[in-house]
Amino acid sequence: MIITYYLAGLLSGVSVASFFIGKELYRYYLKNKVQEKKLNRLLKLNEKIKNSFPIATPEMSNN
Amino acid sequence: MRNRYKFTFIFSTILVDLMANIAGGLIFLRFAKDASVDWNSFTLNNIMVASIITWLLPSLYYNLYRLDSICNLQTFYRNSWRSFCVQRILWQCYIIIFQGGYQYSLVLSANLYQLSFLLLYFLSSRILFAVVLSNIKKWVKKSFNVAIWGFNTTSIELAAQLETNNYFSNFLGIINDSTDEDYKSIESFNNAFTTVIHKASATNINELYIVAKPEYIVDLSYYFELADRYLIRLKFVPDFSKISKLQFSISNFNNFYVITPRQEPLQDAYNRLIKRIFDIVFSFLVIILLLSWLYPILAILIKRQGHGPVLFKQLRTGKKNQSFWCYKFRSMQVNPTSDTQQAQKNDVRVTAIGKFMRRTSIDELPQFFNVLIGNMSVVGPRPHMIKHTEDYNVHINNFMVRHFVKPGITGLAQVSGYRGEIKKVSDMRRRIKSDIDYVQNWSLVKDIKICFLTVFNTLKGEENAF
Repeated sequence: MIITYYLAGLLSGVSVASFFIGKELYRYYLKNKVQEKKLNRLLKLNEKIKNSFPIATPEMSNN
Repeated sequence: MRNRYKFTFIFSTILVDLMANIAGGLIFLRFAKDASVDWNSFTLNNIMVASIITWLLPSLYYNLYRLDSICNLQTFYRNSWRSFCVQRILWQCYIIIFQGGYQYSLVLSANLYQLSFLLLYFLSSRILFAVVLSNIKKWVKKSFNVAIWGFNTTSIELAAQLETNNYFSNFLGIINDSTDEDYKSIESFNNAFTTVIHKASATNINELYIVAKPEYIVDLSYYFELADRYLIRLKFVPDFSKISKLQFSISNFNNFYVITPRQEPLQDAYNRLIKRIFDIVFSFLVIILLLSWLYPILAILIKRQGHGPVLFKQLRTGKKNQSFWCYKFRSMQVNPTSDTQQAQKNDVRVTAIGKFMRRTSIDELPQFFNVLIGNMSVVGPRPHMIKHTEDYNVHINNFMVRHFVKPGITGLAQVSGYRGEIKKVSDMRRRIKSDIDYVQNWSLVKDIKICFLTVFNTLKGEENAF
């Protein structure tokens, strides 16, 4: 009987822990996916803004 | 078409949750029979009804199955967990009330098995729901296509919002993010717009967000008519990113767009009423249960430390920049610099009993009278001395925002570690940022949480409390 109690308690603990860990991991997975796309778009926009100012400054040409 | 999938998903979720709770009830009964419990017929006959009701009540209260809640997995998980915890409490109450405390102790093992089953179900079902929700778009034959036209920081932010929790529509992205279109005039914008409507119609886009600078949007009726002709739902999002980098709050007042710098939940009269009721109840309880016996003891101890009054009162800045008398137990010797100089570590002005009161924050307790009077709240930005308000208002632009609400005995800044002596303007800036965060995101739950954290921090002992 004691072993059954132990197993039931273990199962409860594992379920709760897995739920919260899984929830956080999934949240980070989603956030990472969206942030990656956002970053790519921002890089594109940055590139577009840079190209719209074709005259290079003297500092830039020295480099 | 989307509705079919949405509501099938919602009804399946409700059904599976109910069935699991009924199964939980059956497991409880199966193991409870092993214990020598003298069941009364009411408990036994209504155990299934109790399983259903104890689940339905919290799930309805937390809006677990509401469309916008279920389509946002984070909200769904949070609400599921809350409903589950409340369901467990209600279930235990049912057994204790109708079966009695002694009998309850006999069925603890049955309760444990039921809990294990429900927790396991809870975990597996929520994983399954996430898998179904993530793949539901693949099963939809006729997808609802959404796209954004306009390439700027606002459209990038909007795209990120649409991509988050986008389970039932097919978001195609920003359709012109690789082109170098820059509109020299309104005519060139109109031409590009007409072209994109034609293209959107050809590519079966059902909903199109147009993100453009407000000066380009000159003839809304024409744009909407054109989109209607091609059966495209058009949504205009003005791009304010060039005007300000800050985020605004935009609302609608009788068909007028109102732009405000921030959202303030305490502008709502009902929220203010809730906060006031909480303040009155809380301060009454503290005054009756704590101050009624602590006040005379502290009064005697303070009087023994030297001459001067028991209470120290100081003019501080309150709501709407109006000054008020803030009360404290006197923790220092009577001194002429109390209204200008902050307390420092190892301050010679602090008395022995004052040191203890300041470390445990007991000196702040008379402010519950301020709460009862109405010039303070239990939770809110800490009130500063008038001189400090004048000084920091010059250095920090948004310093006065904290005075849109009543000052508090404790606050978000205090439980976040920004309490005590302010040495640099940057310290104050951090405190103000936290205060503004509180003003923007007030909720009763947050207030209760801050109260608990204050008690916890006080018991733990804080380095900055001196």
